[in-house]
Amino acid sequence: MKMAESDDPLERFFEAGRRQAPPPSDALLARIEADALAALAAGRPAPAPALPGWRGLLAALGGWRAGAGLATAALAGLAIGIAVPATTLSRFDALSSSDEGGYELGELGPGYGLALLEDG
Amino acid sequence: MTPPHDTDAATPDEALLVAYGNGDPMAAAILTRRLVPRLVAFAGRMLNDRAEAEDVAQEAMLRLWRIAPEWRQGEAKVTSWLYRVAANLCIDRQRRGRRQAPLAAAGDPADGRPGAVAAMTEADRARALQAALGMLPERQRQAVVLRHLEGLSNPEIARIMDIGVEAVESLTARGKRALTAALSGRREELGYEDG
Repeated sequence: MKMAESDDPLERFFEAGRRQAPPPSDALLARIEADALAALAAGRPAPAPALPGWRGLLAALGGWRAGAGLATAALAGLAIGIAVPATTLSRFDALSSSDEGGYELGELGPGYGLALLEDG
Repeated sequence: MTPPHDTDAATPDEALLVAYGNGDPMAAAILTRRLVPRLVAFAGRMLNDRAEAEDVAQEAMLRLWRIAPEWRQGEAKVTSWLYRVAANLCIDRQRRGRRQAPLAAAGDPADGRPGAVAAMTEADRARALQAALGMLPERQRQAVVLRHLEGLSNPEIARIMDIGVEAVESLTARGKRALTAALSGRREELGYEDG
């Protein structure tokens, strides 16, 4: 028959063992808490303070190098936008208004016209 | 330093560990007061050496602090994880040939306070149990200590020891038979009233 745990004769010894377990020393607890604080400090660098205004925006973009690159790209885009449209429009007008702007079939290849005549 | 008061004993260990991992030092203080007594008791029973038990407890807790930021919630109980780490540390130390402390060092005799006789009897039983545990093979000792002194369930012990529940039952049964034989000199306390 299986013995119930409360009837287990060893239980008196187990109970004594549980009750007689000495508590940890205060020095040990202090060492372990110090370890916890050290591990926290080691694994988590202090956050950088938030920068106000444009410096904060610059930091969010990735620092002054990224900011300088972005500014250069913006200026180049602006210059292209100002300078190029006049040239592009004048070329488009010239092509669309001139008879020389179209293409004849014969211009597509040197033997193209002869090939059509032979098939017909 | 004033010990932190565990104001919310219902807060799970895992929630405190996650809070610590997110930078809350008070959570670490509460976890320390809550978990270290169990670790020291467990390691002390495994090693029968107070100083080594404290070293094991400190090392196990250090590993817990380091893993806290990457702790994956819901995968394991914090206590199970700690018992497993502590058990491995104890076994490592035993295998390095650490000698068990002599039986006389297992505890101090009771003083003359009221009820000292009863306390002495209990201390005697605790010392006898510790000596008998020291004679068990390490796996039997681990299973018996976790089941009958730490009060863990068989499935939880199975997870800690990385074995099946039936193997836990077998280890604890064999361990208890060996303890009974070792403690047979104390027949009255064991409940054997006649021969």
